[in-house]
Amino acid sequence: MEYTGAEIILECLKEQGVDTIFGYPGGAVIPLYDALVSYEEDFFHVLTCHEQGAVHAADGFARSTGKPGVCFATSGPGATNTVTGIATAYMDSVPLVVFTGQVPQSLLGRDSFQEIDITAVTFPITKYNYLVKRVEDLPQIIREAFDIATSGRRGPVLIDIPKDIFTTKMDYIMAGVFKHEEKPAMPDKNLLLEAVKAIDESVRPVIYAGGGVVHGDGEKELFHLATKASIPVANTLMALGAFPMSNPLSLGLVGMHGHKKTNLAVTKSDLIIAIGARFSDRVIGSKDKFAPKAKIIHIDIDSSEIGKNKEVHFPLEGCVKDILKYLTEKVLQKDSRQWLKEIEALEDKNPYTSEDFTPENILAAAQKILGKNTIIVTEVGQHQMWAAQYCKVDDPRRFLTSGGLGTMGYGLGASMGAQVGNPDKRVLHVAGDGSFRMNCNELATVSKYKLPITTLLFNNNSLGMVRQWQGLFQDERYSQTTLTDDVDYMKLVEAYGLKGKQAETMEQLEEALKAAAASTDKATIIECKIDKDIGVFPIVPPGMPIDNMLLE
Amino acid sequence: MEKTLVAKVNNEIDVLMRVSGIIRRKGFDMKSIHMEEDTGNLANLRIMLSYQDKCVDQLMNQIRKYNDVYELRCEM
Repeated sequence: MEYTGAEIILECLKEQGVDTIFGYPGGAVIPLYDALVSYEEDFFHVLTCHEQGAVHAADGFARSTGKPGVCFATSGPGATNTVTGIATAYMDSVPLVVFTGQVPQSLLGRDSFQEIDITAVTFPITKYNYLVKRVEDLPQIIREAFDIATSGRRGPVLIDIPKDIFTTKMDYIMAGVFKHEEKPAMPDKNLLLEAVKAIDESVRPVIYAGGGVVHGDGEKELFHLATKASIPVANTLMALGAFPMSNPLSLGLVGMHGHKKTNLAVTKSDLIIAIGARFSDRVIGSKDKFAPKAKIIHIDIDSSEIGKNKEVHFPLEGCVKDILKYLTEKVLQKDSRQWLKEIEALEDKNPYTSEDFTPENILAAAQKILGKNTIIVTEVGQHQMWAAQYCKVDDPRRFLTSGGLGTMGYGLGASMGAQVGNPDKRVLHVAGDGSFRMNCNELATVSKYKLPITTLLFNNNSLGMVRQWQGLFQDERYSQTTLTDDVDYMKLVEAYGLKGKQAETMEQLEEALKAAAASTDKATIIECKIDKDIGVFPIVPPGMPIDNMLLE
Repeated sequence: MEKTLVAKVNNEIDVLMRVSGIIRRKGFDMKSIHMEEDTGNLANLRIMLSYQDKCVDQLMNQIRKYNDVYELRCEM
């Protein structure tokens, strides 16, 4: 049967099981949006306010559901507006397929209206990208794109389509999902057995779990290995929830803002088992002083990550899930009570529990009132680190944050995607005033689609994290980090038809959270006014060893 | 010692941009680059890297990940 290029795209998306698209129309994609009218029953299209919001939403959808996120944008500025979102997904290995329109082929290379070479722009931030030159190539390219985005180390793929391709007709045959079945080979057996021996002989082992555990669906296998061999688990920002934080073996966040006992445990460790983690500078600080006494096992599906930032003794390249399963079968059952006791003693005991209006108490109240099943989505800055330190996350895909790129403005869009993909769950959007201002235009989308997101807006009238660095490392020379209080967030929120509440005490906050929890079709923005001098601690000065923490 | 990367790639300019882009990003300098059409839709790509006291293994691992690179080896 004959279809236009635009119809073929939509047929291929159906083939891939896609039912949700985030996007924004424009000149070059008019034929695609025209075809979409006939596919209304097949796709839920979320019209955002800006293409950046659309990509972040597709990203939040993908991270929270495990399915690839799909996004449409037009040529030129529409395409360049997707760049930050694509780079965010690339750095955190999130599977996206982004379709951009392009000027007709007859106008390519002539600096035509809204022409940009988006494939060249996105070479370094996509796992792969395509400029479609023949309509006949479309089905294969789309099938390949989904396969690339969702296999191996996940990542975004961009398909740039000239306008004339959308309208050209061809015979299309449905082909089903193309997925290469090849499983990555297991590492050499001798190396695996050496790693098993190292685990068995270790007295102070620590698992350092990264986002690859979640992307590789290896949470259960991680749990089995950690519990069988009694190994404490430290996690990166990307792996919050990969191991239940309520488990006594959980050490929580490691690195620049890691917990004191976690950073010290890693430093004292004699064996680090890095799983789907990339030894980022924000985690390891000074690379030579990270776990200086430890042998290192590194399990990763991406060969280019192994040995990239830190020398490794046991490089185990392959599927995280399969390797963990193998190791779990072979390692001895152990009891490391002594080591765990030693770690516990590393944390300062603070018998004073305050009921003050602090970030820790605010986040605890939000989790308590909204429920354990809530998906937490953050922006980037101090509030992000408070959320990472204080939120108790027991399940994977429940804590979404821009870890690698650190994209301020990520959170609201990603919250929309998470809520659309998980209508049965609550979404808690944790924001700072700096990040919130970046993409708060998306409140119109939140309002339009009646998404009952709860935003906790930590308002300290400043760009808190940068201000904190200026205070600590620039001799308190505060430069351009004060935002003043010239925005009335309650009026702003009202203008979008949403509910706004202000809280300056725990009582006010709890009341606002209860009202938010009761709302099923309207977002609530709760502005929490906090002091600009509240910092994120511990903090490791950049480039320093992670046991060199400033605690206050 | 100078090292030459030899790859079998898709016969398209995109792959040249991708590979040269990652070489640049990883901080290597190139002495020469040559891409020539081979059979089918393939091409031979030869890149001579300037002498640098750097390990090319990481770079090669990165290049191997590209979908349009089929074979890659390093010649001394």
